[in-house]
Amino acid sequence: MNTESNQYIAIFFVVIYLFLCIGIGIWSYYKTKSTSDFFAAGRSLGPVLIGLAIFSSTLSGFGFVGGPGLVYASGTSSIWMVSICALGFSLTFFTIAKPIRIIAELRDCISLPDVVYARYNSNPTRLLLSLTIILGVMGYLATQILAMSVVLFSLIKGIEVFSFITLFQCIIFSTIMLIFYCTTGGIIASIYTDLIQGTIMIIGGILICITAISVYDGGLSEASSVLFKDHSESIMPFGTSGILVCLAWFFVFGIGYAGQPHVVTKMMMNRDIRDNKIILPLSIFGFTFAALLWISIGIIMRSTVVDGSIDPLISPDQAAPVFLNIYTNPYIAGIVYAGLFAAIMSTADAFINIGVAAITHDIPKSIKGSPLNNDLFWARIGTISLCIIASIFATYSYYFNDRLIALLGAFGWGTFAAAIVPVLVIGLNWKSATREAAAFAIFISLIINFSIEIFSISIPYNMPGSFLAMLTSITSFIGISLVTSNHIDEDINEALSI
Amino acid sequence: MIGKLFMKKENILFKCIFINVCIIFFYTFFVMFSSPDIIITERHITIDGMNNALNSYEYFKEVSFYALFLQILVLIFYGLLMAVTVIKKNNNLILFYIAFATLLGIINWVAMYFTYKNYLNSGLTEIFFGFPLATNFMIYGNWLTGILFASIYIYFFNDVIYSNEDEQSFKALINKYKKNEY
Repeated sequence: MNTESNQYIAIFFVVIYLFLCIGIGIWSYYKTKSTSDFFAAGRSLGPVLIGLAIFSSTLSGFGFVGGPGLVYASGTSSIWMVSICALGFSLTFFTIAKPIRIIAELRDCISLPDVVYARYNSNPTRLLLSLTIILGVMGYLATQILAMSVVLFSLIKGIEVFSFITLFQCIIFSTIMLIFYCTTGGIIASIYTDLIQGTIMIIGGILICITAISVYDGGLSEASSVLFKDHSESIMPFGTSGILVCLAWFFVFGIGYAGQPHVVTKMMMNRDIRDNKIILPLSIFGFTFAALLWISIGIIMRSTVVDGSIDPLISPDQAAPVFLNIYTNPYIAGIVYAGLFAAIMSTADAFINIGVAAITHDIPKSIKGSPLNNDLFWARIGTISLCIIASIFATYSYYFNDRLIALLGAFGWGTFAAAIVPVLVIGLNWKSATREAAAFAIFISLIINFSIEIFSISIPYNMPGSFLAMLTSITSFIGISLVTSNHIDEDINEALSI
Repeated sequence: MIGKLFMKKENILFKCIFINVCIIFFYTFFVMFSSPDIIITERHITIDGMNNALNSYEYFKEVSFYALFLQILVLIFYGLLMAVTVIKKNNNLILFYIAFATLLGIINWVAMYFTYKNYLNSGLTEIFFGFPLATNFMIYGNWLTGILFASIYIYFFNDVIYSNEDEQSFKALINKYKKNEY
């Protein structure tokens, strides 16, 4: 922020948003009467809510901060991750939206491992998937808590009245806020926060894009010319990361939408399958408008630093905050900051939700055949525990070992995609897919992703490890299915025929 | 057993998917471990936190053939995955549109590829709609390819994706089997 008054404006919007969250949490508490409500919103949500929730869960806080930072650092390479959105969402809806909703209602499934168990009739597969989800959730959640704390700390830093507050205190505040919000509201609170976040991101994306275009008299074309003159590859289609990295991202991010548990579980929550034809375009256009923020801020910040208009950033992740500070009206900046908090909190809530479902519902069912008694109570206890453990991870990682979150973070998008895509995208559309193939695909994807991260294996041409993991898991899934016998229940067999 | 499975109608497309993925898999590993690893990225000379590309021409020359076919195979893979979801409905029109959208996606990619190749050879490009020509194919072309598939999904939703007969079958299925797993 340039001045203290601008900082106060941003804090004002964030505080309003936090009060709104408390309100949503309390309201959702009274709407949550069963475990099904807590985890799956009772399969009663309308198309607008689901459409906005799907796209905003996909983009999360990363779209605000990480995306522009990637464009600043590597030019156009990371735009492959967002230009694929329409194709990725289409593929997900074609392959998953209908069968997952049918199976969810047929078997009263409240989590993704429930659906996978119903499809393959296999407890080991359900257990493996639950463990994958917990590992992924822990990394994502710790990252979200740390991001929330860092943004909060950067907002209040420099204001004299708050000068006594440390980052550690911000972590504690963020954790308490998340615990209250997630424990009371469950997935219903997350979905309604997604609604706020989605709306802010769409409006913010359009306004920020207009602001970004007006930075240069010649608009984005002039910014592109500046980048072309400095280093032409940075604005050519493959950026500075190279053609193979971009194509690998096209594969992993395109098909990977269908493997994100926090995204696909929302496809189990709509009240009517017919709503899918409204949800798909809503998700695509919502994501597209929000992605304008990612692309425009990144390109403008890189070009203005290159032409010397502003000083180089301390780190690429500063691209969005500095842009908001220098070029944006403070009220718009305040709204975007509130949107950033909404993004972080709703994503954290969605991850806590699927993580707690795995711990209190899926793993007990895999091992002893039934969930815990009084599982709504245990779901809330699990939420508190998960938040506290993740905040300890976040604190330890920030102060003592920054590799810990990176390790768990490796179980992010790519690992979920590699483990879940074959099991769902192919398994829900091919009756010959078998339980042995599903278990092996999940297992091998974990081994490959984890090995690459632990042993710091360098892959030629900087190709992402998740690309190789995904190729291996899909190939082995189909290959093993072809040589093993399938065990499919009669009702699921009929469901997959619809 | 494999021969028997491949005889089934629903497995024909999966046979194509399997062959497609196997080609991508083996070709990728061949390229990964047989080509020289060229350093392709370096830090910006004067600005910390920014990267620049390095050896672009040599790198492209080394991997261009693989990259061209990898992306074509991946686009076919996407098309096949969408086709398998509707093959059971025996509606050739939607299959035709999926194939057509896949073809347009491939044309967009080939156009991007050769425009970029021309730029590498000449060092020149035009800038319009905010970006260099090849980048336009990436940003707008990739997005529009996805929009084509989304349009097919929406247009055929009531007739093919989830028809009235499907809805009746779903209701009948629920009445017949409804179990309370939870």
